[in-house]
Amino acid sequence: MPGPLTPSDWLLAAPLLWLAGGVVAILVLDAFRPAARHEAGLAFLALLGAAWSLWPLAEAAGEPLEGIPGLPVRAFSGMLEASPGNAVVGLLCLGAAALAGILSLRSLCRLESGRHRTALWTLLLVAPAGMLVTLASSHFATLFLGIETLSLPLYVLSALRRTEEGSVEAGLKYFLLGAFASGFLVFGMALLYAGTGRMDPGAVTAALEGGALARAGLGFLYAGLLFKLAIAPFHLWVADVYQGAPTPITALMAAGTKAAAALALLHWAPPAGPLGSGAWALLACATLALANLTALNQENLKRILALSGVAHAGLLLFALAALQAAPGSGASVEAAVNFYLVAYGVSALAAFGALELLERRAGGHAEASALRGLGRRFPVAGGILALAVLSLAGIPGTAGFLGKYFVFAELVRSGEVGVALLGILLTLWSFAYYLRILVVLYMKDAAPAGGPPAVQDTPAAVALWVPAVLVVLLGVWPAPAHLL
Amino acid sequence: MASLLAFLLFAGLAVVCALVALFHRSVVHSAFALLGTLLGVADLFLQLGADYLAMTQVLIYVGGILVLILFGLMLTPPDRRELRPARIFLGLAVTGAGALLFLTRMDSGAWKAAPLQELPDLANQASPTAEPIGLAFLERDSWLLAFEFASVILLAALVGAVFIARRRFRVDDEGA
Repeated sequence: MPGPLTPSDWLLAAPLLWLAGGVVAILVLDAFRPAARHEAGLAFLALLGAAWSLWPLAEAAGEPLEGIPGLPVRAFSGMLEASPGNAVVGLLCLGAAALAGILSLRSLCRLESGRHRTALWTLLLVAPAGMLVTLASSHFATLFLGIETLSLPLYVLSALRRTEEGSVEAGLKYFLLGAFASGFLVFGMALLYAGTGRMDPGAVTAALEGGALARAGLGFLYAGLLFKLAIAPFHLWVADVYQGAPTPITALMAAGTKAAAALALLHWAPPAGPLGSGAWALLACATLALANLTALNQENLKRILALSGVAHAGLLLFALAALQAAPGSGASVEAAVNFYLVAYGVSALAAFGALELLERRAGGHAEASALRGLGRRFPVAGGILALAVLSLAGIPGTAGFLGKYFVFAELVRSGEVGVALLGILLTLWSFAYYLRILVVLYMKDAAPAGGPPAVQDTPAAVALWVPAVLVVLLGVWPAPAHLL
Repeated sequence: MASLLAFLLFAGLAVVCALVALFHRSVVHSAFALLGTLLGVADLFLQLGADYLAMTQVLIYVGGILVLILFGLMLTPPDRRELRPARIFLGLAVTGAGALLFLTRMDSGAWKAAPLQELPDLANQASPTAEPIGLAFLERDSWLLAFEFASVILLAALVGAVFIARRRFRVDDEGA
């Protein structure tokens, strides 16, 4: 007989139920009362509910939760598994969706006279649900479903400005390449299952000991995951998609998708084995070098920030290299990765959010020539963008610095000092384009104001303070997020 | 013996039709060739004793998706630029290299997923699988979460498709 759901099941399913319930409520109310503007309220309610139900897990650092056998929490017979640190990253994903929603209130919600509000808000709820499943996945079924559920809404949301060629192109490009990546992922899963007969992360270990069939599957699986994370040979879509997508959606992709894919990769990373730390370190260095090189001669600030995201994802692979070099370091590496993801996530949210506000003042352009001098004319948005850029660069006193510090510390602790030095040098190289953003914002004379004046967007301006404050707070007081 | 013959027949049908689908010059013919591949795969399911899966394969892939593909193809103007010799040569070279690698390595034992046995006559002794599959979808210990969560994706896909296919309305009154 099938057993009833246990408290662990409910704990991990509750956020998903809130989000899915929100989607259904929006659709049903829209069917009966199309004129009422309730979507935003319901969506924020669902996001808040999801965060509220995820909170107990995020809070439970050391002590087990009441009625739940142990941490990390396993649910549905091992379909999902989440530690408190994962829950913090999950809160980041929910926050990213909320911020994307607030940034859209006065812009994307009004596209085509507001006819797409329903699609926008339902998809904004489905995407974080997919992220939550992905980052807690510990079964092929949940991994694939999670990745598809987070990608599908983003394909559509990227193309939300249907009248603009760039946006449609971004959506189509993301969809086609993403479909290929999903194909790789599923093919890899099939080969792994054929070769090892397992569908849990143990399949990876078994594959490393097994034959060529399972190993080929492992290669395909990682190709699919690395595509979502945008690691070097699979990163070419990022700049185009991030540039073409509406900026609030770009913020959600940068913070949420990256975090979910990174945690999935960490869950499915091989334990120390024949792959060795060299492969991950090489991928990381190649990604950092390529991203830095490409970012140097970009004119569009969104492209620069997109490539900075690629570099950040590359840096994350150093954590996997550390895990490979020192097998016993699982818990501390995971803590470092969790903190790094939260630090990068809040920085990226602040950066893209502030860029969206500045972009509106520059007539919808994100080129350096259109944005020059705007930092002085709009001190708050400019200041938040500058702060986020400093954090992305890794200036001490910001969250970004500590994130990088923890990852490199893990690398040094695992004995890979040379790799760590190389990584730090590559990171210093990236200062060149981060500084360029600051030069554009503050040291150039302002361009003449073009286009119609922008609407006053108080909700966005207020909400932007949250990631900005977090950037500083986590930079000087990392304990709350790193305690795990 | 009979099941081995059936296996060879339908596996051959699947492979030959897949090759036709790949290499035929007309995409419409390729789409029709896919029919044979899908039916062949359905038979493989049947011979493995998965009757429900085989029927679903016929209903959904042959009956639904293939028809959709055909409609899509017939409504799309053809593009001849894809057939440049250099591209075809590159594709053949890469595929050939892969096939060569596979053929040289396939006897090493590492590729074999499971020892090749005499094909069991599963189709005649197996019980219907619809009930166990249905129960497994709703059992906490097997596929409940995946089954329920798949509906979220489908809902999102539906909303997205409606949005993409909607008529364009006059230029938005967005502030920027």
